Amino acid sequence: MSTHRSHRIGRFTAERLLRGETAGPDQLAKLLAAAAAPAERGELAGEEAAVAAFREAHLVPALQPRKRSMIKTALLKFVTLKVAAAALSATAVGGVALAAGTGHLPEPLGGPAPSVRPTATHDTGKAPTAGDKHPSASPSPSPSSSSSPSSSPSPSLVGLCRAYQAGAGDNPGKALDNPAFTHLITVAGGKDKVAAYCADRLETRAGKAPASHPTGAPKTHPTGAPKTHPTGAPSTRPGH
Amino acid sequence: MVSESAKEPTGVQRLWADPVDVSAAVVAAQRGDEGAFRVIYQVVQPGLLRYLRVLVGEDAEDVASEAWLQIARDLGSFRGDSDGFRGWAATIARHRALDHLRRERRRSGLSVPIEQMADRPSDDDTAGSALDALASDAALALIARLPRDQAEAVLLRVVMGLDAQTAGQVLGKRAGAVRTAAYRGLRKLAKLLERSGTARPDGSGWGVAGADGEGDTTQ
Repeated sequence: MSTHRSHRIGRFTAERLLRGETAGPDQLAKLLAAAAAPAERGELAGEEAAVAAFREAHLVPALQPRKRSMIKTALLKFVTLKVAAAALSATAVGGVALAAGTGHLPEPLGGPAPSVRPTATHDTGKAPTAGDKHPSASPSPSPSSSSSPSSSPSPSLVGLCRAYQAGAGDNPGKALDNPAFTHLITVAGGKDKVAAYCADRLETRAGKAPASHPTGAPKTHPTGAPKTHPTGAPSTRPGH
Repeated sequence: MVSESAKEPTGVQRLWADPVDVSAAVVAAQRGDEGAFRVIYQVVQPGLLRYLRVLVGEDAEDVASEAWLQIARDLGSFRGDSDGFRGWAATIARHRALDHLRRERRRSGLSVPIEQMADRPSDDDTAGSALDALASDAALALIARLPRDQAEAVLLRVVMGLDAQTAGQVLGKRAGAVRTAAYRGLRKLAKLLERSGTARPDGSGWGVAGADGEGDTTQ
């Protein structure tokens, strides 16, 4: 393997070179230095285009709340009605909502989301606060419960509503055939009233149980580089 | 081609300056500070572009602009320090590059253009700062002749300024694997340099970019 001229580059030497220290064969050091040389003007030619994109990204904060609910709905769509019903019967407190909130959804659905998920939301400042206040790990009901004072199983109604909305996109009428929703239909006053009832119900809870914690606390991904979703992020389309 | 910073009286000869810390600029840009975003671009783009140059050849500018669109759009969701940001940007760029390569392969059936880099005609020998660009291009062209995992490991460390851990996250590998790939890459580069070591008229001495047409596939 070695020629008459070779300096066998050991790991130590190699590591020094990779850190930018002079080491090893001169030619190799020079090559690396050239590769890492300061920028030439031509390399910054795309600056204005990038800045334009930056401006545009900051001009559309109004989209963000809509994006959040879209993401919530998208996440919950993956939760089948069966699972939702099972979760609801298991916990009396709107299991689906809390399941989403605690990140117990399977990884691909964005459960404990890493700190960088370009498909996730941009509402950086808001989400962590809401998430922190929410007792996401505990099975107790949300402290700031907006449940109506009159009905006792109201948290489960919220969960039912979420499950309904998750399934209703495809076929609302059929979704309500599921016996799990009997109680919801009763409370809403009829199958045809469920949609409006749920919209109203969930409206009052919006922002208190975010379905995703895009940024939470950067516990496991301090450097921000995604570990397990190397392909998911960059290929998203705008408005996803 | 050693940069000025190598002459710092720190006792250690440096081949290039330490990566600039952009963490404050990132935070400011996330709050809408356009000037901070420009700083980020100017600091990160050169390395990004060179990394992409080896991955996608002459389409590097196009892929880089796609990457910056996404970086700008998703900036708000980033959390981390300066190294983390470089890693994040590199990951975005890499995925854009891989998407691009897939599209290109489907369209024309071309093989990965990394090998094309080595045959890319270098700029004509012009004096002055053109030599800097030439040297940088020549260096990248030689790196492009490495197996891709070695090339990426070397580039992410040297050109993007990432440590082995962060580079591993970009590549989806453990730090140890990235270190090994980078070390192998350096050894291979050294071998390529030795083998083609005839000096060119301008004294660059690398004999790359097609002067030596052998494709060395062994490690």
